[in-house]
This record gives sequence, structure tokens and C-alpha cells, in this order.
Amino acid sequence: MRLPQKSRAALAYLVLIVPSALIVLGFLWLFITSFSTRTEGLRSLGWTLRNWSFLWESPFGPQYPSIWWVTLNTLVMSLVMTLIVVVVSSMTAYALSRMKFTGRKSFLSLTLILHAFPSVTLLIPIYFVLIWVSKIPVIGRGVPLLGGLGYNTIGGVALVMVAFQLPFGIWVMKGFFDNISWDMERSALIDGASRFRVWWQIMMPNIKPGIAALSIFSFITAWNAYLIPLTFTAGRAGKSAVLSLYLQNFISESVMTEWNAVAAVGLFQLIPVVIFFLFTQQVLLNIYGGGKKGGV
Amino acid sequence: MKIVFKHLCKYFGRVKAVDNLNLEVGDGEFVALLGPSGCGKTTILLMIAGIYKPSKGFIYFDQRVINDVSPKDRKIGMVFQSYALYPHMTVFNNIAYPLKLKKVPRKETKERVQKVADMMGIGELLDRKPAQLSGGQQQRVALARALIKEPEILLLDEPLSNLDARLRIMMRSELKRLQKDLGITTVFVTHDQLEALTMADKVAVVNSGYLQQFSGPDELYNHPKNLFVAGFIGSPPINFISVSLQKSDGRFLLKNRDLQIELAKEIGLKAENNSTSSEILLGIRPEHITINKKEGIETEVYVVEPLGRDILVSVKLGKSMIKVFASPSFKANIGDRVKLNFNLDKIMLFDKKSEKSLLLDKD
Repeated sequence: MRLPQKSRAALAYLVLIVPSALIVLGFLWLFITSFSTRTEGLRSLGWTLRNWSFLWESPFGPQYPSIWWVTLNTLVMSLVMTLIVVVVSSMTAYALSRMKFTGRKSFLSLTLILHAFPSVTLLIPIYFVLIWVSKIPVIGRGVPLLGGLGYNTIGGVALVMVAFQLPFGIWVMKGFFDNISWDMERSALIDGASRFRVWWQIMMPNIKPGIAALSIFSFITAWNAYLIPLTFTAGRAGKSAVLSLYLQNFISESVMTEWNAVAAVGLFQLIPVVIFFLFTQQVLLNIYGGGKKGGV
Repeated sequence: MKIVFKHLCKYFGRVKAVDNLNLEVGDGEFVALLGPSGCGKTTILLMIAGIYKPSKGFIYFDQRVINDVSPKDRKIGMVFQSYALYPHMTVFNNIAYPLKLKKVPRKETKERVQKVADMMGIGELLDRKPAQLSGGQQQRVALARALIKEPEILLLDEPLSNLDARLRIMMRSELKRLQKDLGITTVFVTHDQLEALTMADKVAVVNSGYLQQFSGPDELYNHPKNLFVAGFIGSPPINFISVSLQKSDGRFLLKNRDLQIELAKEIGLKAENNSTSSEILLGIRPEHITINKKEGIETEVYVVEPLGRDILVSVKLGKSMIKVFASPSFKANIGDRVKLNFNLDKIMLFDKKSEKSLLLDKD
């Protein structure tokens, strides 16, 4: 027996609304809490801006980095990671999509396996690698802004994030390249373009949605990352702390956790993601569409 | 420029896309590669372009072997079936792209683009993006882009297949005229025999990687070398009838259960000499049969299709179906008994086993 059209639509909405409502309630709580002295459920027991005071004064004392420094760290890490992921994946994906070379198939399946690999298992070996990199002069820990590429540097964390993000990026970009007709590329070759020029002048402009989607996706992944920054920096108090670690400062064993402040910092961290999402929802949907087509 | 293929082969893994192709395209000639889909004709074109490398054999441009020359150094222009315009560039930039890569000065580029665009009748569209153009306009842009380099060889891959029927007929004659005006050696690929016959000076019929016949349209139509060419060329297709060749009292007869035809002596002799057995196939085109109600081979009308200029009558001769052109004044209904007369000067005979024509002199 089939349900009439209207009931089916209603059922679909019900299935969608119930889980969405739970999530929306969570955010609503977060919002209300961050502006309240205390809450009882979703009811505020008094409004205040005190929870947001971390924006202009360090709540933990001067030895801790300020929120703005931490935000800058997070921004630098996310941007660097995004840039490298996009450049490397698009070049790799182009080669994998368009060129014939030995090991192409195995490389593809290997990246897929890497993507499925639980990153936790690699944390300790990578820790040793980063410690070793730290000992290299200059690039280890002497680069401005990035710190370097070794342990307890923004660059080092970004590099590890890149490694974990690349398999996904390559597969997504390959999907986009696969969808571009061979004729266009052949035509450019006959017109006199080199392979590199074809990639840069013909292919890249035509997978802009893919580049946009991957950039946003990578950026958000880096922005929200917790485990990797936690493992490869000196932690929440260090000068390489990122936002997710900063949040941890509020939750300690010695002092009562100020949940209202945690909510405020959480909301602060959320702002760029929400803004991003509002503008790029359409493109983000694309990444899954495009990625699927790239499957073998 | 002359293009010569010598023992050209292309294998994709175990698949033989092109097998031992020998062909010569003369300077300034307009040659069609004709064959069913997947027969290897586009592979041949891409080998001329330098996108694919031959597995064996050689391609010459004039006297020079160009197997290892890269596409950009071959002085070719190519128009793809999909046109392959660069969607992110304006029409101007599309046409100018080859010049940009050659670092031609901007002023000269502008002049040359304008000139070739005017020639193709798209001079007004230079600021548009390809997506804003109709199919016909896109094709002109693709042609302009191929021609701006002043290539010595022009390659066209199914140039008309994405156009609507009316535009196709128009472009057919325009392309032919353009090729004659410019005098560029041109090779084009098509699966449409009408396109090949109408446009090309010479047609190479290719099937499953082999060259079946390479000759002018007239020769191809009237003297096909084998069964495949005879069946592929012509619309509606040629009629084949299974017969046996018999000789009695010095007379040559084609016989089966439903018909008996006497052959002229020299045709009969030739067929007898060339055939491997007496079982042969008689081929005759629909326009070489006349239909009437008085005398000839007895048949029954199966269906009548009016085409305007004439009518196409399908008749049943024993088990086989035969298509015949009749004048519009001919009236017949399904099931009517009618009679056929074959124009004996136009019949073709093929060996059943070797599938070769029995009427051509042996090579």
C-alpha cells in the first residue's frame, strides 16, 4: 500500500525536523547561555555581556595568549592548510585524471585507503617526525607567523592537517577533472599549449566550483580541528594554541567550569563557519555531487 | 600538404583500433573517413593530430615522418565534434588562444581574429561567451579557432553531427566551398555516408580498423569493392539477394527459387572467374529496379512509403524484402502482385565467402 502524496511529504518532513530540532536547540542554548549569567534550560536568569569579556581581557592572566592571537593562529593555520591542499590536490588530481603512468591505479587506491585510515593511529609516529623536523634550523622553528614546520608550530600542525586532508582533496578534485571533456584538452594541446598550461589556463578555470568547494571544506576542517593541534602543540597555554584549544582553558580541574564563557567562546569560534556556510551552501552541496562521479 | 599513412596500426591493449592502414591524402584534397561508430576513424584523426601515437607504422606529412612530432608543431587545425570551445573565455579569446600561445603581438592578433571571424560570419559575436551562442555559431567559432593558425592541414571530427537537419545541409555546402577556397588539405570523420559522399573529393571507408575502400564518391557508390561498402553506402540501402550462378549452353544464369536472370556474357565470365563457389550474392540498388504490373519477376507489395519526389515500395520476393523506387504516379496497395525488372547494367555480384565484388578486376 502506498501512502498518498501529502502524507508521504509530511512523513519526510517529520523525519527531517526531529533530528534538526535537536541540533537547533543546542545552538539556541549556546546562544542564550553566552549572554546569560545563569540559565535554566533555555530560560535565561539574567542577561550579561560578561561572558564575552575574553574579547578584550585575558581571563586567565597575561601568561596565556590572548583570544586575538589565538584567532590569528587558527586563521593562519587554516589558510595555509587550505592553500596547500587545493594546490597539491588539483595538480595531483589532474595527473591522476589525465595522464597514464605506472602505478596510477595503485596510487589511487592507496590514497583511498589513507583517507579511510584512522588518523589517531598515526599520531605518535608523526609526533616523532615533527620533533625531528624541529631540530632542522630555520624551517624547524624559525619562520615568522608560521613558527616553522616542526613540533609546536602552526606550520607543523598545518602540514599534518594537509597530509590527512589530501586524500579526500585529491579524490574530490579528480571527480571534477574527470567531468571535463577530453576534447577541450586536446584542442588546447593542438592550439599549442603545454601540459602545464592546459592545467592552469584551461582546466583550472573550468573546475572553479570544485576549487571553491574544496577550499571551504578544508578551511572548515582546519578551523574546527582539535585532536591534531592538541597533539602537536604544547597545548592551550602555548603560543601556538588554536581556538579549539583555547576553549579548553575554561575547563580545568582546579576551578569551577564557567559554562557561560565556554558557550561564548564556542559561539565566537562558530561565527566564521556560519558566515562561510551562508554564502557557500550551494557550492558545498556540489562537492558531494562532484566527488561521487569521480568514484571508480 | 600531403598526408601518407604507411602500415599504420594503433592498438589499445589487445584491441586493434587501426590495423595496417595505407592511405595517401593528396595536397589540397578533401578526404572523408567514413565508417560506423567505433570503427577507428576518430583514432586515425587523433593520430594525424598527434594526440595518439601510432603503435606501428608511419605517418608522413609530405616527405617527413611526424610520428614523434608534438601536436603544436604539426601545423594542424582541428574542429572537434563537441567543438571543445573554452567555456570560460570569450569568443575573441577562444579564437585568439593559438596566437596568444605563439606570442603574436596584440595588435596583429586583433586584426587576424577580426578577419577570420568576419570570414566565418561571427564578427559581431566576439564579446560573447560560448554558452551564449547557438550550435551553428559555436561551430563557426571552433572553425575560426582552427583556421587562425593558418594550418596546412585541417581536421574535422564529425563536424556536422551536432547541428540540426537544416543547418547541417547548409554547412555541408559551406564547408565544401570553404575548403575549396582555402585549399587546405582536409580530413574529416563522419559516420554519415551522405555527408561523406556530398562533401569529400575522396572517401575512405573504414570498418573495424581496416580500410575497406578509398575512392571518389561516384566509384564508391557504383563500384563498391566489397559487401560492406556496398551495404554501407546508399540510402535506402542496397538490396542483396542470394542466388547461384549457373552456366548452361554458354549462357550465364542467376537463379534461386523465386527468380531467374540471364547475365551478359562478359559479366558472367568475370563472375565465374572471380568466384570461389557458385553461391553468390546479387546486389542491386533500389533505383535500378523498375516496378510495373505487366511483366518481370513476380512479387508481392509489402508496404508503400511515399517520399514526395518518389515512392519507396517494399516488396517480398520469396523470403527476402526488396526496396524499389517507383514514380509517384505508381499506385499499389499492400498485397498487390507486382513485377520487377532489374537494370542489368547496374547489378553487382559478390562472393559469399570472401565478400569481395566479383565484377572488379583483381588487384
